[in-house]
Amino acid sequence: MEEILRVEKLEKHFIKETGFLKKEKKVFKAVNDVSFHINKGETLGLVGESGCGKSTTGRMIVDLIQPTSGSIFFEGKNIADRSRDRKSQLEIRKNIQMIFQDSYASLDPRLTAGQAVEEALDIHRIVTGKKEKREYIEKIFADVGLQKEQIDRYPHEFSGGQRQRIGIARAICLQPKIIICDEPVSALDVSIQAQIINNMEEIQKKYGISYLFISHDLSVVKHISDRVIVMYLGYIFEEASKEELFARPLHPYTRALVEATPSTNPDLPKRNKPALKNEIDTSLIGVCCPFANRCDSVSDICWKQEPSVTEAADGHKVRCHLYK
Amino acid sequence: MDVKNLHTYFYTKAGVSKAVNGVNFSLREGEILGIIGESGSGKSVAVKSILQIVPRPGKIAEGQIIYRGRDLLADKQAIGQVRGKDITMIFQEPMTSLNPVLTIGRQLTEGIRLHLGLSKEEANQRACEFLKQVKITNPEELLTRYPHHLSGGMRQRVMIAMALATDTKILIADEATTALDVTIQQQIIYLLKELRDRLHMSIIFITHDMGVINEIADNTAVMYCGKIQEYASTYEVMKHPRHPYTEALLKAIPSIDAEQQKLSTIPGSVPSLLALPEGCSFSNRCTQCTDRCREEEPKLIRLEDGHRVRCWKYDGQGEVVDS
Repeated sequence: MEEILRVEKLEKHFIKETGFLKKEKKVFKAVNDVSFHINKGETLGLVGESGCGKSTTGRMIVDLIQPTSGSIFFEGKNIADRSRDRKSQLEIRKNIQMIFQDSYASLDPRLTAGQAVEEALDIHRIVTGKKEKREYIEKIFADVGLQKEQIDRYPHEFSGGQRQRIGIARAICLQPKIIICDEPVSALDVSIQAQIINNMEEIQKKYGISYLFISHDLSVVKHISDRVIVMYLGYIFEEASKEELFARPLHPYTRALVEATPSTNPDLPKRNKPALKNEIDTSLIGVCCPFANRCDSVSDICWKQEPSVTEAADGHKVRCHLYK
Repeated sequence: MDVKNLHTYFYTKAGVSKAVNGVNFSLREGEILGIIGESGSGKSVAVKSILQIVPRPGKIAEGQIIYRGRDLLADKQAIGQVRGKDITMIFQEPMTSLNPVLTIGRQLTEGIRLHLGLSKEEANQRACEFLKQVKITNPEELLTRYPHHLSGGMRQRVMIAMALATDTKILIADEATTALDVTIQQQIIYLLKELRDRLHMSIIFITHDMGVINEIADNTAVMYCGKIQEYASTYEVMKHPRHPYTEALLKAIPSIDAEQQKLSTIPGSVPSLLALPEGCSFSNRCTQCTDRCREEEPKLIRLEDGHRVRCWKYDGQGEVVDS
């Protein structure tokens, strides 16, 4: 399979100035040593709990946040170094689009759905001419399951699910190669969530777009992804194909996450205790294994040394001392 | 507690919105009742009606809420005596229920000192005991902290501790775990179940998440457009859903332990409460809809196995339990 995006050793450290006259600097390592790749036409699921750096990673790829270090290769070219001219910037933005969780916040309330799409078309000069643009927008709207009549309506006239469809329309109208989807269905009711997920899958099939699908919901990620990455406190803990990851989760955190995800199967025996104890501890980042305080397979080495990545099976990578 | 024929309406400029439109249920001691529904189904308004904290322009139009022989809606004094004491509520975002400028200790001991008349030291000691019950390891230290120092899971534990401090009999949890990470959500679910087992309190657990309901609830009520559409033991609801809405909802959820090629969807979206379809409120989205469903509203029927369902499919198969 052809690789379209590769991320290597991506890091983001946020610096917070505190203390008297902001003399003290606190560094928060949000993303650490993150490397992965996305193939053409596939969906890579990125799953993790709040604060694991999944959104920061997505935002670095679309250039909303500047990485501290590391490289992002899009079709072989490093785009992490953003000191390029406006023309190539535009070219990258056209090819890497984003869909956000809060569809209302990401739409201008004073632009109609059609104008929101048109704005993007004008900037990137995809289609010109009034009539051609209208026809093109109608076609895109049909793709995302919106009616022609809805083109001239304003965001507040739509329901949450429909607004998310406008967000998708705006992303796909530029014919991008990758879409970074940051929790696109998390705010929706289940019946609407299923409609949007199906629609996204249809669009992917039709246009061959790759998705980086960021979500905290393991069930959704399992449904939509081809491969899955599990993140925790800025580190990738495990990466594998979907089938492999759910059949043989290696990292104790992945196993706990699978066990903690509520199932709708009433026949499964109920556990008698939660899968994980304690809560995330950010003070462990960069010191030892950041998961050491919650892990039930913890040993001395976990408290002393940061684990490195091991390839346990073909394409199945895990960051844990157990698999050294 | 018995909730009988509860109607809560919102009187808006655009018309009367019947958010809760004839809800009946009863809650036994030590029972965990799950109420599930999508946004706008009226689940939250229903439980807020129990405590009479429905925001304006909402008003309880009709109904009875019988708690220990007293009707909380008719007896004006009763609600003041039980709200925040016998019946307490925890919300999705505990930060809005905690005062950001007071320490946890101050907020926790306030109720204890008021109700039990203890000194500051004694109250602090009691507070620590309750914090230990909700599995907080360093309670003394926590008492000196402010709400923003705590994580979402910790805050929710503090809220539960507050409920325990007043020796609550019924805990209403309104999407209490929705904002939490799954691993923390699971911890809170187990905590609530354990407290129920130990203290025999009853819990009404409201959520939109079928998986969470399956984990926590003994019995489940499925709400849609202000009415209970289906009511049975959680196992029955999950295993043999009878109402087409419940069935469709379960099929629309991506499952963690099954492979689905394509998710089945429910066409359309929840209708506006101001423009409900005639007849059954689900008729415009139902795949099994008949002419009768569009014209006449179905009644809640109790089938032979005790399963209750509001759907014409089961007409004549059981006894009508409410209108």
